[in-house]
Amino acid sequence: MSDTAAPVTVKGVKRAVSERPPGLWKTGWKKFSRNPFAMAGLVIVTLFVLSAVGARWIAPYDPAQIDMMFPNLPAGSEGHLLGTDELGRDIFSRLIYSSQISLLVGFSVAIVAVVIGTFIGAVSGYFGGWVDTIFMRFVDVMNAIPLLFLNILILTIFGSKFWYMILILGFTGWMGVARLVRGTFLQLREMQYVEAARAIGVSDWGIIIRHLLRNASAPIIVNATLMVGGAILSESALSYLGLGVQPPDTSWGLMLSNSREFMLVDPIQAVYPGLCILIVVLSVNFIGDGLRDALDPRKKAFKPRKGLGK
Amino acid sequence: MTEYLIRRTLQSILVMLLITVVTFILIHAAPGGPKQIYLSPNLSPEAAERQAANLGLDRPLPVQYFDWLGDLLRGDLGYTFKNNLPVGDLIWPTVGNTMILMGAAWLLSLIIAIPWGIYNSTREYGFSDQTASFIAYVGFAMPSFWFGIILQELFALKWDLLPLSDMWSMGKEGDIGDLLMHMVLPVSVLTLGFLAGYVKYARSSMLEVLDQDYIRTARAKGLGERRVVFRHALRNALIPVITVLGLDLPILVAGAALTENVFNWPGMGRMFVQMATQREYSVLMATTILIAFFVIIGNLIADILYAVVDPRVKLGRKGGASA
Amino acid sequence: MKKPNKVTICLTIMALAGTLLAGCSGNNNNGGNTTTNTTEPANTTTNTPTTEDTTAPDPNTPVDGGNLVISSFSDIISVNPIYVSDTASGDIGSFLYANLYDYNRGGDIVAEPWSLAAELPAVSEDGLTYTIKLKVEAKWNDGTPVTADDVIFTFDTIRNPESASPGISSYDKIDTMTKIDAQTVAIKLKQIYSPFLYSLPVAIAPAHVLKDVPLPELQKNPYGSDPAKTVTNGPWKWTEWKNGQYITLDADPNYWGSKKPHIQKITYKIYADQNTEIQALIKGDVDLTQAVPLPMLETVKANEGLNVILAPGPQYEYLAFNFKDDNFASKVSPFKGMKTRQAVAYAINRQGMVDNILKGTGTPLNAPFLPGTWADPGDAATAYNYDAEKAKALLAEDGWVAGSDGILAKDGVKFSFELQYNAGNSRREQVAAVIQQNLKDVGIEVKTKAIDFAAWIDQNVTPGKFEAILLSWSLNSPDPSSNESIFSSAYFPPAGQNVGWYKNEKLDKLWIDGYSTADQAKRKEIYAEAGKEISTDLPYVFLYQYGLPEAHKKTIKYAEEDRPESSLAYGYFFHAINWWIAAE
Repeated sequence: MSDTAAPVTVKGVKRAVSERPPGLWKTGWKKFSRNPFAMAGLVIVTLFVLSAVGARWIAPYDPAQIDMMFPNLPAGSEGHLLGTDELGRDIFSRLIYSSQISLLVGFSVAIVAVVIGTFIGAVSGYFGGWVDTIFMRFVDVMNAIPLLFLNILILTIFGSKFWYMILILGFTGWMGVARLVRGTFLQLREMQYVEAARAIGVSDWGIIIRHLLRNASAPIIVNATLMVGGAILSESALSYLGLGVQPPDTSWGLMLSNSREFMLVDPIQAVYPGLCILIVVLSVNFIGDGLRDALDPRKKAFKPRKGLGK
Repeated sequence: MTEYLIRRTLQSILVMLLITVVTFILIHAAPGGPKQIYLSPNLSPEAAERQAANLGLDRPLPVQYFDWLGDLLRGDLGYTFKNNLPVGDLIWPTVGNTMILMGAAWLLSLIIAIPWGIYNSTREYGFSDQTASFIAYVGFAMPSFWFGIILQELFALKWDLLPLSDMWSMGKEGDIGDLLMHMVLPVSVLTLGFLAGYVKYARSSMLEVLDQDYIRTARAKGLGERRVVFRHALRNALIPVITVLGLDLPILVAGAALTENVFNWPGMGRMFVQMATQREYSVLMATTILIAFFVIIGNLIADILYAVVDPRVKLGRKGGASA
Repeated sequence: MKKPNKVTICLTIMALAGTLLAGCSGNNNNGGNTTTNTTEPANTTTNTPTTEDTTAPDPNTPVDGGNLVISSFSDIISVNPIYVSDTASGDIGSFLYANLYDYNRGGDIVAEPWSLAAELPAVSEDGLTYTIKLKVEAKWNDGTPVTADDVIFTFDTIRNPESASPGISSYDKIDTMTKIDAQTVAIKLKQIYSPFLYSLPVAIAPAHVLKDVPLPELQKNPYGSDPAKTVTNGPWKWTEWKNGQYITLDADPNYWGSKKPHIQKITYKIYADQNTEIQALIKGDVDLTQAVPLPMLETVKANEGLNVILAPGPQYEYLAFNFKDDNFASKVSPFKGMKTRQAVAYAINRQGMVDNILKGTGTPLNAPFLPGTWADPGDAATAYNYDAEKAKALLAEDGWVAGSDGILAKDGVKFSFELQYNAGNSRREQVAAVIQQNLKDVGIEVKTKAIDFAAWIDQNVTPGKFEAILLSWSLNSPDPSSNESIFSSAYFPPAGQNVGWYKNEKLDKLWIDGYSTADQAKRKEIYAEAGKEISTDLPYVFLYQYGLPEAHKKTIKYAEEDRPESSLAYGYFFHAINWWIAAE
């Protein structure tokens, strides 16, 4: 992507901002909006985010509200769209509140990981040398340790707190971004416009932030999007094992974990949270792939050629 | 080539050492420190003191680290806190069990994925290709334990076709037929996870190769499509696939942790989770390091294979060797 | 801890879900009276979980052979009788070891044909000396006879603090032990202590194997964790331990008892969690499960191949307060006011829990005495019927004022505490959720925390480091004297089990009075007074007595007198030596 993206900025630097030709983002959106999967994903994720944000108004009940008079109501019972669980808690309300935690974890982890990964990748790629060597060995180390095991180990040692989990997932998920940013920077730093910027006295950090990062932003965003899905899955796995979200908080993973006990009685309780995870992660991944197709100029060149080939 | 191998090996050793440092620091960064972790809270303060001295917990950290590292190198993984069992006795039997499960799933997904991906690369966006990409999306987005639970509910409980959990039926240890039956469900879950990536990967790798000039030359020469694909493209398309296999090792082991728990499969992942709930830190540390070791070896082998298969590596890798 | 200790006490913390008692007393009551004792180790190749042995024509005639598969969701730690403290280890111990004495169905102490003792202990006139006579034929499975030395070694080791045995409080009343002959030992107490009898139905450790091990290293000795090094004296012997997977026992062909076990092989299978365990039971992979989680009870009952045994057991659940200020972030325990504790009791809907969570398998309980026994204070104990308004009034009287967030506060400290319980116990999870909600309604913030059982007991419960816990005790013996070690200020952690650091001088004295007299009418009076005091002062909120549904395949057979007995610790294996497995 770098080859195409670079000239845009080169011009941008020289011309007035208003004269910029239709940029990457504008053409990107055009393509993105023509991708039905990506658009569907966007709509679905937006709906989930809105319902999570507005959970207080949308959810008919307090998710922790125990009503021992009406446990285990089937779906479609009066007042309880999806029925109630063993403690008489409204399943629909719990799903909505769970989405708060699951989505919060998903997005926060992606942000933490992208910030760390971008920083490390940028410094490595731009400065090179021993800084690069050290950081990259560290990436090797992190990549060699299976992350689920590492997460379990850390949560066991430090205890299962909600924000620990976000930090831990973030701190163990940045390697992909770091490599990507570093790779991009390795190429970009040799570009003429970087030399030009350096010549006119722009500082290293100025170059990194104002020029290089901007050009690497498309792949970073694609990567971050895909990471959201991964983080939601990781959260559900940890919660399923009892190491993640703890009651009275609730998340889809925790609901799944609880529902196992009712597999014999009411297997449908396991289906709802699982479906929510599946749908959201699927949607996020559609968005990510849509973004990649839209923002990756190589792809544009690629497709028609392939068409010819066959 | 030799120089590359040596450099790569040294790098691996360095990374391995760093991993032991990281793990060691983690344990020592725990709230309350290692005493909290290794000593029973029932002990009186004096007894705790004595015990700490016995375990060497009162010595300077670097000394403790090198001691511990020395034990590791000698193959002494330590003892469990609760009942003083050798940690190795707990871990080693589970390694084989995990490998059986993962190996089967991995082979199966390769056997399916590579031909399928290659076929799809020749019929882009056809029905088969679309199906593969649907499976890939779902496979990536579905929590594996959820899929496992649903398979159990349907195939083991509702229809009673397959065993519910475990590796063997009671009293049938060693019966291969029994083992295979027990493997069907967990292997299906794991295969779906791998398949998703591998089909996509084999397809795009093949497409990339088919796009190369030498393939066009081959076609221009009038070679049949079959010959082009199998004689010329395949070999080169497999190179990146090999790398992925090496890089995938951590997913192989970690990916099985959840599945093993759902199916009560006596592998490393289940053992790890059990030991985590029992706070057996020495087991957790040893397992983490052991897996990291496998992964590094896996990566090293993949890189070496890569170098052997693809002569360009010597040049091509120089720039990005550390990446 | 508790296995050996059992003084009447038994305090067993109930572990998991259903699980049970960690151990208290002796269990292993196997026995019975069935007819044949042919025990030729028919060691049939055990293929299927249930045995085959197709030759049994009459299903009511015991047959030898078969493999009994028992499920568990926790692994053992050590079966060494000096250290057994968890249910899983206690379960295995109950098959591997003969007890000195056993309980009969009514909870009385008896010398069964499979007990080590030949007859009931003789108590001297002054009530201080107990003389125990062992069976001459009793042998360890390495051929060494079981002697008075073993008994003395075991009790001496347990009562020595150096060994760090959890059972110490059961034997601290012993003054001296004298070996009279190889089979006879006389135990002299320091004072009259009528419940001492209940410290005797326990397994014994082999002195000839362990006597040279320094006490501080005893716990880490492979005895108890290595099958090859664990010399036992029960009907079954330990053949294999696949860590985290299963434990297998075989009937011991050289077992010394006149009655031999019918079941040839026992497999104790460990599952990742209770859900998998019950699914395996329904699927038929497992023959017996000690405790079916209540949500699954209906499904299990509906299964035609399974028997469910359900009766209230000797255990009750409670919410324990911690009175030690250091355990709270604010350095002040909010539970110090009696009215505050009573308010908490009124705020909790116990009847609702019994009806909805226990599905009727329990009854509310007001004091720590087994209902229906002579010590049950009945109406003398205060009952706290659910009344949120009364709770609020009591809290206000005690000086709690609602803050802007609706949470009560006193002297600038919010009424907020962490309620701990063990992970994986669905009943307790639900109860914790109800408590959280109930207390929120009156302005108290509860943070619930589920912790793995073993780690929790080690790191929080035993050392008394928590704010509040939800747990149960099993009352192993009908004698209420065990309450002393739970509620007396002489039993603070880590040595004692008064883990909430509760101190009430009146009660301290009543407990001692209760066991220091042999006059039964007087004892009844004392315990009625204690029941009244404890139900008013409330070191715990006593929640309910409950039962754990045991389920097993119908192919597991036993005579009526050998059926499992829910009211005894390890009663799910009551007289297992007489059970047999019928062809399917």
